[in-house]
Amino acid sequence: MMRKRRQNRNASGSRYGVAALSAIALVAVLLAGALFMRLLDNERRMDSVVREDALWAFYQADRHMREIEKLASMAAAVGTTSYHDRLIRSYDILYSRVRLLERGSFTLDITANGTLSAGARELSQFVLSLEPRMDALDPDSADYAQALAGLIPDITARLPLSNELLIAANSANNSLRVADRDQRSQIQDHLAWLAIVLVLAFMGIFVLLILQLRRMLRANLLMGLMQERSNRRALRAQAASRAKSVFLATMSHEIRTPLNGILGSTELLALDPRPQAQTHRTATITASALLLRDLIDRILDFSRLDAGIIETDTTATDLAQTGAFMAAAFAEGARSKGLTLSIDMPRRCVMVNEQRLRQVMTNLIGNALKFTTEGGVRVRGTFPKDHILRVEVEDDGIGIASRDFRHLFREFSQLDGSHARNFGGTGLGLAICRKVIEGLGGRIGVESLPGRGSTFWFELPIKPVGDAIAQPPAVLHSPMQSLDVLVAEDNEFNLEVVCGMLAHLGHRVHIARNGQEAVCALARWRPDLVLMDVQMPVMDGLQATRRIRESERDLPIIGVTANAFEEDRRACLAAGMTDFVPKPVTTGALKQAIARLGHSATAPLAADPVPVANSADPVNEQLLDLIDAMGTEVVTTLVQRFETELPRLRVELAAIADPAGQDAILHGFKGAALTLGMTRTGALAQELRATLPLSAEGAAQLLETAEHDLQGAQLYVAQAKAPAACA
Amino acid sequence: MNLKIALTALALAIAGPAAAVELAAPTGPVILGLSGQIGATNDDGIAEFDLAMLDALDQRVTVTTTPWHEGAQEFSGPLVSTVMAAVGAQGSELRIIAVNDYSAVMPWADIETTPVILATRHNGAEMSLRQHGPIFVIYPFDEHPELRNELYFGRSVWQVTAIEVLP
Repeated sequence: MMRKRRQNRNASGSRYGVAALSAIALVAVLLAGALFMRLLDNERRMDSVVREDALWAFYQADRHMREIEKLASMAAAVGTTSYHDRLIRSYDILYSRVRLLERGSFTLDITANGTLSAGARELSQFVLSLEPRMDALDPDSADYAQALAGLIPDITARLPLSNELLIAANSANNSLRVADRDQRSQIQDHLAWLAIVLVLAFMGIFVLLILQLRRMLRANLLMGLMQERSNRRALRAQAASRAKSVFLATMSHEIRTPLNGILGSTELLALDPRPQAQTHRTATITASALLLRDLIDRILDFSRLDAGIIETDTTATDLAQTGAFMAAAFAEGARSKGLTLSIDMPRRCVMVNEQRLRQVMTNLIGNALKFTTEGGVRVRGTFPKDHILRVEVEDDGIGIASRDFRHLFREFSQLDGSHARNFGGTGLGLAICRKVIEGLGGRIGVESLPGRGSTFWFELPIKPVGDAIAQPPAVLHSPMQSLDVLVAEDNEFNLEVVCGMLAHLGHRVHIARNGQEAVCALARWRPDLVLMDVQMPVMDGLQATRRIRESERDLPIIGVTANAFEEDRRACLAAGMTDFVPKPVTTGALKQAIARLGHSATAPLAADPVPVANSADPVNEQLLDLIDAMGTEVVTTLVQRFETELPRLRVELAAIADPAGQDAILHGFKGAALTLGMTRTGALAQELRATLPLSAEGAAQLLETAEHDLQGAQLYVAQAKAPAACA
Repeated sequence: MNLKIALTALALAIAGPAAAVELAAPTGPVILGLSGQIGATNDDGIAEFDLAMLDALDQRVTVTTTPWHEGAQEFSGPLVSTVMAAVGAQGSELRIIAVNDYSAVMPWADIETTPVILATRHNGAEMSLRQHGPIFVIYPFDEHPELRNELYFGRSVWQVTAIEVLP
């Protein structure tokens, strides 16, 4: 602070210094100019007057005075005419000259000099006064010599005067020259001093400017350093924010696992015969857990969007088909509320990120249905421009005041507490929609009046591909087709399950134990489809896919991965996989994935024999799916096999100490457990994989959990048998 | 016309000073004598002029101030160059000699570039010796202010009696 103030003072000081020195320099320049002008002016004034040398005039006068005196003496003595003529001529010349002496037009201004001026006048008067006597001279007359003799003393008497005048003029001329020289040298001195002042002033200015420049450079340097520092801080802050987002995403993901456990257990509880009150409470627990899971899913999605992760890859999408999916998804909900739902999407095929399009539409349609009590919801897709898709979702709901519009798309914002009470929700839906749409380069907005319904709309940039195939989506109605499927899976248990499901769907199954085997098998024979586990020994699924893609461009390859992250899906697709199914694999997921490839499912979706689970309990769903796919007997065998696996697991975990080996065992075990819907065991195995090497307590806990889950599964299978037996 | 001048010049060049052309002899008092590199003479190597002969040449009037007079004065007389042409003078300098033996050298260039005259009249009157006559070399100082310096004042010889054309 002190230093800064001093710097400021220095800066202003040097600024004043420069200004003062500049002023001095300016004054010096002006003075020099004035002096120079004076010098020039002097010269010009001297030149402007026509002058003659006074000294020369006095000299000539003196010379002719002496000549006249001499000639007069000669003429008086000799008395010849020749001397007389010369005398007269000399007088004439003198006469012509003396008149000039009285004039001022000499370089030496004699009028300003009293002595010279008076003397010159006296001499001039004398010469002029001689005129009648000179004119009267007649050399032929007798008294010529006498007249001359009268003249000579007068002339002689004036000789000292003319001589003195000559000397005085010479001296005056000299002093004039000296004075002139003095004046010039004085002016030169002044000029020299001014030059010194100027040089000093400019040197001062130069030094001050250099100081200022140095200060500026230092300030710039400081600024650069500060900027760098703030950049670093910003980067650090961003990194921290990203880390938090990642943490949130991870935590959300991790929270889902125990939540699934809660859901599963609640479902098991619901299966037991219980009093009415308890049934109601378990239903409440299930509903709350489902709501919680939905919330967590949204937070997961939002935190990932917040971390700036948005997939912008586009696929050719039939908008009509997307509309049909929406209609199928929401028809039941709308019907149960007594609302009409009309979805009108253009029959056009465009390049767009279909997954995100569906996500946003699902959100908006879900919201519209949620806030509408009577009337209906209308969805329209249009193309205001060739490369813009506009989707409007209009409802007859409660409407929104325009002042609230700007709050709508903010994170964790709901219009008021009463809405939250009436309708629930995370308040993240529209914020996610906005992030998704803006992330994809589009716009989202709303038009509404309270009590008159709302129209939510969004616009997305798209690339037109052409008109969609006129036929309705193949997924829903197409003839049965049996496929040759190569399954690459290292886990014996999972392999058995997947094979059972595929067989149930009516496909023929071929087996490869790892990526390497799959690549070798494909060299000899080409199936219709490859189902590729991502994590395998020897050669993993991604690498195998890349190898296969070197020669096989069109073969459909569906990845199977335990990680449900979008990045994993992207890694699969980047490696060249056609699609992706998350673990644990279900019949429905398999069927949908195969349907997406353009191949038909063995049975239409609408007539899917899998009974709709009365809850989202994963244990139920998974086991039901298995039972449905392979029959109760096979599932019972699978459960029994899992039971026999447990002692072996105990032995192996005790025997193998190296983390890599343990990891492989746990990975296999986790897959088996999840396949049988043993979520808790699967999650625990996954958790333990993160803290290898395995502790004795960890192993014991895993086995205990597995036994507990196993009992649940056995119970479930036993119950599933009972209605089958009845039927 | 041009041809005529050229032929005359050629003739003069061929004739040279040796084969002097006869100049009319003065009838009145001689006031100017030219000598040196001249082509026309009326005496032994000398061209003598009386006032009438000078008056017969083309005249020029110069009105100017001088260091020797009060106010602007009117001078008239032939151009020096006219006089030189009349005697077929061919030199590089003129020595102008005054009655008191004062003399000044005038470069040939002066008479070619400046209308300098041999003034015989001052304000319309002839000039006596006492009035700087009979001939006064007058430069047009007012028309050419650059002439106002000691050099040209020195060449402005008065009481001129002779001019010598130097090679």
